[in-house]
Formats: sequence, structure tokens, C-alpha cells
Amino acid sequence: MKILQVNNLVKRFEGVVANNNITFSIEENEIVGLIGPNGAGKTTLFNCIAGYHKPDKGKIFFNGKDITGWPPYQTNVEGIARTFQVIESGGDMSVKEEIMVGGFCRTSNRYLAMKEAVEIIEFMKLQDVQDMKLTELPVAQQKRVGLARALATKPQLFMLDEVAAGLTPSEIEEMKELIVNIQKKWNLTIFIIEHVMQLVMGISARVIVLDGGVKIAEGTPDEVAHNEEVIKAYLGERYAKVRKG
Amino acid sequence: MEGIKGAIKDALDFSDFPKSERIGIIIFYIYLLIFPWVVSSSFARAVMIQFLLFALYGMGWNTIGGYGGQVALGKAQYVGISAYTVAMMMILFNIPFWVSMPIGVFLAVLWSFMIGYPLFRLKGHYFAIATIAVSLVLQDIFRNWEFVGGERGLSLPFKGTPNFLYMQFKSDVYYYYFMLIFFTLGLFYMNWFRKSRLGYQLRAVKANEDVAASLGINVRWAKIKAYAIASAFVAVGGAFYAVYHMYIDTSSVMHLELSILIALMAMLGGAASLWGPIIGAAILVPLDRYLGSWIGGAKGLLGLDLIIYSIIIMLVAALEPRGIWGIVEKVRAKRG
Ligand SMILES: Nc1ncnc2c1ncn2[C@@H]1O[C@H](COP(=O)(O)OP(=O)(O)O)[C@@H](O)[C@H]1O
Ligand SMILES: [Mg+2]
Repeated sequence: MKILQVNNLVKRFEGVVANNNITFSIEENEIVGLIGPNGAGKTTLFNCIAGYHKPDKGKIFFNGKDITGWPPYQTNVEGIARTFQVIESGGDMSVKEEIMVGGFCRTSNRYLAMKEAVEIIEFMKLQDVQDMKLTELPVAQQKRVGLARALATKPQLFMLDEVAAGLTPSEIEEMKELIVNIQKKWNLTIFIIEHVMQLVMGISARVIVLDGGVKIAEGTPDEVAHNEEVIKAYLGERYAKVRKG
Repeated sequence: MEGIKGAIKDALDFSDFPKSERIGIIIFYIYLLIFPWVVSSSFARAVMIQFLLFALYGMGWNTIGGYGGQVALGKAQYVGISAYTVAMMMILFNIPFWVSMPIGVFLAVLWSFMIGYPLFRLKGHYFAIATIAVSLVLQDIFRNWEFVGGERGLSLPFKGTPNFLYMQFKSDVYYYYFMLIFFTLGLFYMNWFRKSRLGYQLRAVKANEDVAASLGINVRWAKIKAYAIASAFVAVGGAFYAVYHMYIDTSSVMHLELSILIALMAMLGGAASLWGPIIGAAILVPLDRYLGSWIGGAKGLLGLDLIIYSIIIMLVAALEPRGIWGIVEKVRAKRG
């Protein structure tokens, strides 16, 4: 069953075609990676799917339903959650309160939202920092809070934008394990933008590669890594390094 | 049913405040309860009634302005709509306060949707300026509208004998307790509100609208709802104002200064905190009234009150943007 289908998506900004005629689909319960050099159009693609940008052309289907141009809150209610490349602060809210806000997406009952937040906090090992504010935390924990509050909205499709950026190698390993565990526990479909090859190549069943707004390759991590065009675009060097080390 | 029970429990539950603070609040509330027996000066009672009224205004503003972070500066128009409704209905059709008040509140809320829907396309300062503009226009319309009294304003007809239906009493003690009841209801409502779904969602909106939207929040609609709640609060106050003073005109119930004062109460005391508007009103109302009685008519003439308000705004912005309650919380955090 296809959970996400994107057809001929085009998104232009002044002078740039950030997404140029992109077509792909994602199966239920898959982990799919989205890679490509900086400025390739990855975040723009996420923004189009989640409703932060209106595509200039093309269609987006979620569970067979046309959601093209829906506003962000509506795509979230429909079952799509996303994290942000830069984790934004929750103002005067504590970590626990922020996660509760996610829970309030599905219920207006505070006790239920609180109970779910506690569950997610335990799963994410955020107990020690739950009463602190996001800005008081180190990057690795900020990323976890970003995941936690989005998870609290009970998505079917979970889109992660560079969750490993700025993490140490051991933190990256933990993050990798965490994402796999999240996928298993909640039976989610995960779509993940990542520069850290060790992570994205390790957990993705399939990888989509963008370059200059165009999809240049798609396949298993191994196929993609040996694809001429991908190597040309940027990947070969890095992936080779990872495989050696 | 479960939902209602939970809401009442939340409204009455103050247990997240430290014990010392709760004791302080109870003492203060007992003082409010017995105040008319302790103090018989009619001037002091009038100040106290105004304190309760402005605390109610401030609590209402706090929903959209404090929790939602949308600096609305046109709240006086909703005070006015409701005050004019009560006055006009009594003058024209002899309709009792208890009927006209809900209608006034309803009309104010209706108007707030009509204003909120387009205005919440705007963000930040643009929104604040637009609220001022709309309320100035409305005030101008009322001032030039002979049907509602125009420049002269409206005097409510005397019923002769004390009359509960029309809220006309000889002693101001009745007005005092009427306001105290609404103050108390408002406080319980806000105690529920800050823990409610909308309360949490508004704080998320204030922090970052893109993140809020990613958590299933219809940002614009959340603001419109909060704006409507704020309008309902101040409209209750406006209806009371009409029967309490027996006279209204645009400069008493629709003036920009009133809008600013409402926002200032909450900001000085502490926006987005339960006690902020109450603290703010407890400081600003007596200050305003006693200043007025000391220097008389010269106060407005000199613009002294506006100067004082500006100084307060600057002090709050420079020293502690979260107001006096922000200072309390800092001290509390330092103690451990
Ligand atoms: N909101 C925007 N306005 C204008 N240009 C944008 C905007 N968002 C992205 N772009 C441009 O679109 C291109 C793709 O950006 P982005 O999707 O962020 O790339 P990636 O996430 O792959 O690094 C870049 O050239 C970027 O400058
Ligand atoms: Mg990006």
C-alpha cells in the first residue's frame, strides 16, 4: 500500500527551481532516505508535502487522498508529522509541555495528553530534562525533543529533516538506533533527510537522491552508492570514506 | 460528562503554585470578601470596584495578548459594544440588565469574529496597529451617530427604587459583590484556560507559528478563538460599567486609552500568568485614581497618566518582559 505518492512536483522560487518535476512514492512502513548536496531542494520537498509551500505544479497524495496545497496543520491532522532542520524553541514552555502540545493534536483531554507525553518522554529518555526549557539543552537532546513533540501527534508518516546534524559520532549511533526503534514501536513510515551517510545508508530500505532540484537516482543504498551520476553529484567520495572507516 | 468534571477540577485546582503563594492568595481573597465591611469610604470602594473590573478586563486580554502573544490594542471596542447594547436596550425597550448583558456579550463576540477573521492575517506589529485602527474607526462612528447619543453619550433612566433586574442600587456594596462574583468566575475560568488545550496551543503559537502548525494547530483559528474569549470577558465588564455609572459615552467606554490600559494591566503584572492581570490592576488602578484625585483635572490635561504609562511600558520591557510575576518566578527559581 502506497502511503505517499508525489507526481511531477514543481516548486519555483525567484530565480531557482527548487523542485523540478519530482516523482516518487513511499510504501507503508518503509524507511526512505532523501539525500543530496546542500541546496538540492530536500527541505523544499518536505515543505511542499507538509504544506509549508504550495507547489507550482504536480500532485501529492497521502493514503490515496489528494493533499496538494493543504495547510500544514491539516496535513498534520491527516497523519504527517515533520521535524525542522533547526529545532525552534518552545518559548516559555518546558520540554514536557511542548510534548503535551503535540498530544493535544488528537485529544482535548489534558490528562490523556499528559499520560501520552510521559510515555514518549520515557521512550526518548528525556525524564531528566522534562522540566527544563528547550534552549537550556544540548543539541542532541534538542533533537530528541523535536522528535518527541512531533511523535506525540501520532503520525503515520514521519518526516525527519537532518536530525543527526551537529551530533557526535556516538550520538549519531544512538540516534540511528532510536529512529529504528521509533519505526518499530509505532509502526511508522519514515522519510528522512540526512547528510550523515553512516545513518541514512544504514537504516534506509531505499534512498532518493536530489541534485539541483532534480531527482537523479533512486534505489537501495548500495545501488545509489554505485550510481555514476550520484557519485558525480557528490556522494561517492563521502560514502567511500564511510565504508573504509 | 468526564470532560466537564475534569474542567471543574482544573478550574478549582491551584496546587501547582507553592504553598506560601497559595496562602497569600487566600488571605488576599478573604480581604476582598470582607472589604466593604472594613472600609466604608465610598471613594475607596469605588477604587476597589474599578480594580475588580480592570482585573477582569486584564484576565480577558491575557488569553490573546499574554498566552497567545498577540498584542491586541483595541479591546475598548468590545467594552463599548456591550455597554452601548445594555444602555440602548434599557432606554429604548426597558429591557433588564440580565437580558441585555448576555446580548451585549454576544454582539461583542460576534464583532470579534468579524474583526478577528481578517485581522489575524496580520502578524506582530501590523496586527497591533490594525486593532488600534479598527477601534478608532468604531469610536468615531459611535461619536457621530446621533441614534446612540453621539457626542452627548447616553444616560440610563433611573428606576427610582433599588432594582435588581436593572442593577440599580443605593449602596455600592451590591456593585462590589457583583464584580467580585464575576472576578472570581473569571479567575476560575482562567485557571482552567491556562491548562486547557487552547491554552497550551496558544503558547506554542506564541513561541513559533511554523512549529505550532506542525503540531496540528490551526494557528489563525486558535488566535480568533482566544480573541473572542478576550472580547467576552471585557464585554461583561462593559455591561457592568453601563449600569454602574448610569452614563456612558465613547470616551469612557471606547477610548484608545482604555484599550492601552487593559493591555498594560496584564503586561505590568505579568502577561501569560494567572496572577499577572490582577497584580497589574492592583497597582495601576489605585495609582490612576489617586493621581486623579490629587492633581484633579490637570491629570488628563498634562497627559501625566500617559507619561506614567509610557514609563511603565519602558521599565517592563527593559527590566523584565514577563512583568512583576516574572520577577516572582525568578526569585522562586533561585530559592530552589
Ligand atoms: N523560502 C524560500 N525562498 C526562496 N528560496 C528558497 C526558499 N527555500 C529554499 N529556497 C532555495 O531553494 C533551493 C533548495 O533549498 P533547500 O530545499 O533548503 O535545500 P536542501 O534542504 O536540499 O539543502 C536553494 O537554492 C534555496 O536557496
Ligand atoms: Mg535542508
